[in-house]
Amino acid sequence: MEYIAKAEVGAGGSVGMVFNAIPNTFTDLYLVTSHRHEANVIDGQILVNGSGGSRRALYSQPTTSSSVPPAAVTSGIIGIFGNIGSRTADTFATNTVYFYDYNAAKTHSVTTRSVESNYDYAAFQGLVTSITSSSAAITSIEIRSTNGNLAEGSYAVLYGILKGSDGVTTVS
Amino acid sequence: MPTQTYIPLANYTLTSNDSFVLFSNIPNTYKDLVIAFEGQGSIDENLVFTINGSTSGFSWVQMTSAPTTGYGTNTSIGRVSTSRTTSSIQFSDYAMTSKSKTFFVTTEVLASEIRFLTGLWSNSQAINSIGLGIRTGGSFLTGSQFRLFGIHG
Repeated sequence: MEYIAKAEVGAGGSVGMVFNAIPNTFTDLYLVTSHRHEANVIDGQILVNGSGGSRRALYSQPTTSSSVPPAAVTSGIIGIFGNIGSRTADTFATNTVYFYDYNAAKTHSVTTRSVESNYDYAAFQGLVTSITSSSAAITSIEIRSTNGNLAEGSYAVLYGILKGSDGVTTVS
Repeated sequence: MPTQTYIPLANYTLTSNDSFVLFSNIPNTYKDLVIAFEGQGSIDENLVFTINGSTSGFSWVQMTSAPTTGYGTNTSIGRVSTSRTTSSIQFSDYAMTSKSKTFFVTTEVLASEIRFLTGLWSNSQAINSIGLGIRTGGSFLTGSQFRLFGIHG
């Protein structure tokens, strides 16, 4: 896994964090974010090549200290979650996002693991499976909120993963 | 210079349908292992696996977006669908010979079903082979991709 680029949100917030001109020299992409929304929404979205997609999310959001069963939701976006704006100001949601086979000319599989953070138990955890509407090789990725700006201090780092062989391990 | 992680160990894309894929001769020089799968099955069924050829000593719990069993003591550790499916399987401390092996699996049938499973293989052998199959006679379809990575500790 190799570092490709980092995007950050400065003072005043920003509509999105954008990676453009992503090189085609890897097999998969791995995105790590720490971000929060200015508005009180949990749902973010990822745009791939400027377009969205569809998702299925499994999530849990405790409102008491006892555990709650997970719930599921489906909607027409590529899923990612950000800390909602009313959370303590220095807390950010952590996401890892895996893009499979990003150079292929097909719709792309996207898997997101997300954990919101807060100073108490009322934080959100989610797993999301998404599929892109774009069937072109992925050359750009943008992380946005579904309402308003991303907050100052948010950042995202993009890595490339290369498939291959060590010459020792066999597979058949 | 940072240490590279996700070291590629093996990669396999099916050129014909296959009921079983086996990674073997896995070196013991990493801390964790990760398998990344993207593909389809001939049927909607459980993903099953073997470790070092063994199908015993497994136990797991899971949460899922589909109403199904929440725990088990078998090798059904995920899902494969006739729709596109992705799976990530991570083994912690796979080369240690002083502990049982833990793993977690996320399986996604794209935009329709998600499973997150954590499991235990009650065996202290170092893992040197991992097999993947589909329960009740299903096959992975042509074009399915399997990748194995080593992660440094």
